Amino acid sequence: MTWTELRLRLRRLLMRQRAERDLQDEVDFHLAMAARAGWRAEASFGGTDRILEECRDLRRFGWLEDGWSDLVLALRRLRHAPLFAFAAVATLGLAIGANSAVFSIVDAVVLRPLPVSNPQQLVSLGDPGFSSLNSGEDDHQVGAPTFHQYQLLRDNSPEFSGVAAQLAEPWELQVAWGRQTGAEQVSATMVSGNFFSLLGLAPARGRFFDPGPDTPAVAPDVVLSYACWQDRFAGADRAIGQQLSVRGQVFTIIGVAPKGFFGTKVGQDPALYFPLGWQQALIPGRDMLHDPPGPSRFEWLNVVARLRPGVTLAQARLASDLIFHRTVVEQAASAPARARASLLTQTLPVTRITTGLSDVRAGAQRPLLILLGLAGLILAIVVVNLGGMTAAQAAGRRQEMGMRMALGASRGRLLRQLLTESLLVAAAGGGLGWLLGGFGAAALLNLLGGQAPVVLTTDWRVWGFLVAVCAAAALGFGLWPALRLSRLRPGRPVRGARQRLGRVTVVAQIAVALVLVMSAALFTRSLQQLRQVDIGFNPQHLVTFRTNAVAAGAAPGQALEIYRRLTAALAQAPGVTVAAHSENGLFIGFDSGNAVAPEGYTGPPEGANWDQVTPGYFAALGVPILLGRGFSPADAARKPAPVVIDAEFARRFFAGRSPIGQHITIHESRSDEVTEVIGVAGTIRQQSLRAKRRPRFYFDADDSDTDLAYGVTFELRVGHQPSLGQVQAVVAGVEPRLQVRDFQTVEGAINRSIAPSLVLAGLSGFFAGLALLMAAVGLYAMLSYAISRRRAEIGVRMALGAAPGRVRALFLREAATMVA
Amino acid sequence: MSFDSMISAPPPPAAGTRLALLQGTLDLLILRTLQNQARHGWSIMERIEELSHGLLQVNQGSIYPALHRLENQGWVRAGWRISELGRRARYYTLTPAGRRQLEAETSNWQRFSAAVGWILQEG
Repeated sequence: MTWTELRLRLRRLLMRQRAERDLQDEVDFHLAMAARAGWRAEASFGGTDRILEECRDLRRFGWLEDGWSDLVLALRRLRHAPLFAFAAVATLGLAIGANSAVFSIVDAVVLRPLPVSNPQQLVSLGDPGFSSLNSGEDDHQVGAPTFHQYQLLRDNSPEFSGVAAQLAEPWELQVAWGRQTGAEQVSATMVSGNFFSLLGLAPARGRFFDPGPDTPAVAPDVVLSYACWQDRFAGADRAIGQQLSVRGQVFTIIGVAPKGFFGTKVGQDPALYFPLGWQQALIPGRDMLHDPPGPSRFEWLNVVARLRPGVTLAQARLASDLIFHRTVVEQAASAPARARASLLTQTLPVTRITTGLSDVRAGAQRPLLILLGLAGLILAIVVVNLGGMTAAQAAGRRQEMGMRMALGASRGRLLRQLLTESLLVAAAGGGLGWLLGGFGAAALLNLLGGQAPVVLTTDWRVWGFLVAVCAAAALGFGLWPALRLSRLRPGRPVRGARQRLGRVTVVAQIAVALVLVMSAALFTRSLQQLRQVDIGFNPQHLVTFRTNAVAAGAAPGQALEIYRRLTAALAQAPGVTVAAHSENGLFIGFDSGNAVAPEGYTGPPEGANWDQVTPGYFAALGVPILLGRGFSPADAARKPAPVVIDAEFARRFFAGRSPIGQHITIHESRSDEVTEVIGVAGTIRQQSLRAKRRPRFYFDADDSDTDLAYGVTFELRVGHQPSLGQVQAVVAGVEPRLQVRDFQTVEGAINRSIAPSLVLAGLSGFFAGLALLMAAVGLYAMLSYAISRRRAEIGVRMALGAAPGRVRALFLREAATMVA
Repeated sequence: MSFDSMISAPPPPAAGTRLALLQGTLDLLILRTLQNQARHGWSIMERIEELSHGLLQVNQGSIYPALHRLENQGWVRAGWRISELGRRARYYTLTPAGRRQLEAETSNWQRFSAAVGWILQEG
């Protein structure tokens, strides 16, 4: 097409009336000249209309103008069939909304690359799902490098253009903004000096940290997340230079992270970024910037590195392995003999993390994909349903199509028009679905685990999915009827096959609905099985909270005394029957473990989990003491230290003999501790309903040797649930500086731990119900249509003497055949 | 080259036989008639008939589509002027590109007709 032609076509498009008039004038002039010359012009001209049409065709944007008129026509048709339009758009909107909601979560958790520059170059040095503070001796694959190992990797790896670290788990800090006296609980993280520059980010305001060694000597600066900046300062420039304080230490705000950035881990969204060097001021109780001596390790960081261009993953692995192994060998040299062998098996995993680190991804991936499948099935049902409705409508349009064909429309033109109608409905459904999907995604995220703040954004993948689903839906329910309708020859009737089509669609819908019902039943059953797992204690009327005296400023020796007083005060509080505390709590994600060597056990050293509990712990939980006795005040400071083992421990290590009085050697980092068994308690599930049972034992928390740096969890058995305020009042009465955190019921915690299963069962049940409803409606519509068409036949049958019952039975039998 | 034979509509009173006109040739003839002055569609038609001594009469239904096609290609330019009737008419002018096209097509035609002539002469 030449430029001139394009110009002329556009001109016609934009000034249609004038172009029309020009053409008409030109032809009229010709006719006038012909008349003057005496010709019978009309006849010789061969039909003015055809010439006008031919000239028009030379200048049209055919597809554009045709498409527009198709659209207008489709709108008009829908206006005349409001019931169909409403039903179609509503059901499509729901189905597409469900798909879009689940997909946007799948996109955020599984598919989307990190919002940093060149995320495909990033690797994780350590397990990408590592998300806790871990102390102890690991063997085989470690969770994360220690701080010392991180520094070595950072300084000695030319394969990486940089190595940075972030705190593995966001920490809740009490932050006092500016000159305020009150403190607010804020989620914060700590990052190395080169963190932001390694990720290639530009600050939304201000600047980032100066790159340099991560020591306490770095400037006390802090970077805000974009959301925090908007919430707290309404996006004002004056935020830069403001100050905030944590536990008395003042930090200056120097910059704001870019919009949409949430760190390197999906499922976390900290509001503040502090420098690693200030760890002790922010998380007191342990110096994490210096590794403990001996074979023990302390892991508290996620370490990420950027590959230099041209470096392969294998090369990177080799290089980091070399450095890592050197440190391991150094450690092994000074470790006791028994630890040496297992130490030397340690390796550091290196994996690509284009989509970021995540501890939620592994657990969420399967349920999400299952949900996506279910939503897809619902969409299939809706599409089949609409297809049936469209086909039924098509029957009434045979005349219209026949006339169009007679007037010269090609088959392709008819097809285009019919498909435009389907596309219009699908687009409307898609628009509604997009709206619903937005709400649905947020609600679903809440259900699946509100503690993992996943940042949802609509990127090209989500849009693309929406458009693809709409197009697929439109083709799905529109193509088949359109093809059949456009294949008409004018004058030839369409018969027979439509009934079969109707039957097939209903059968298909019922089949899919039944699949959904079965899957809902399966999920519900697995949920029931989970719920029936014996947890070993009574979770009802059990309330827990965490508190940390050391973080509040007490010396470790004082902390024990404070907890003792607090236990006594809580036991007296109204509604509380028994009060106790433990180190690791219930279903909140903490646990401890060590290798143990029980007396008389000849197998290899095995690991066991343990907890430090007060004497009232077993009573508070409702765990029976099966043999021997629990702790008593007389046990304090007794040597060897008394332990209570659980039934699983006794079964595993003391099969066939009484464990009371036997000794257990516990292998700790620096030395071994010998303990004596004084009792056997029932087995409980402390962490998860699904995990395999591990043997467990308990120390007496009143023993002054305990390490209380991370605080304790209080367990209260209550008659009626106290409010947070009441508990805070009691705590403040004992020690005003103590904070009450994570106040919750144990039942709630258990439910949260099985949230994905709950959601799956619930949603699949909802989808199944919806599917059954739609299949039933489809069946009803088809039946009533079929019956109305066979009215004559029914009339004849009844005239010939058939009882109404028999006629009814005839149709019911047909319906039953379809369902079967 | 596609040959689209265009038989005249009911012939007006005129003598002589009519020859069928090929589509590609119509473009060439139109360009030729515009070589020296701007004309409107009716005038072009008259001129062709005149120059061919009455042997070629253009089917009136094909002129305007042909003219518009030529305009699309950029070989002619159209404008409104007041005609001899006193009302406005659309006059077509040859563009420089059109002149070059005319030359090219003329030489093509001459070679073509020479070739056909040789074939008919031989054997």
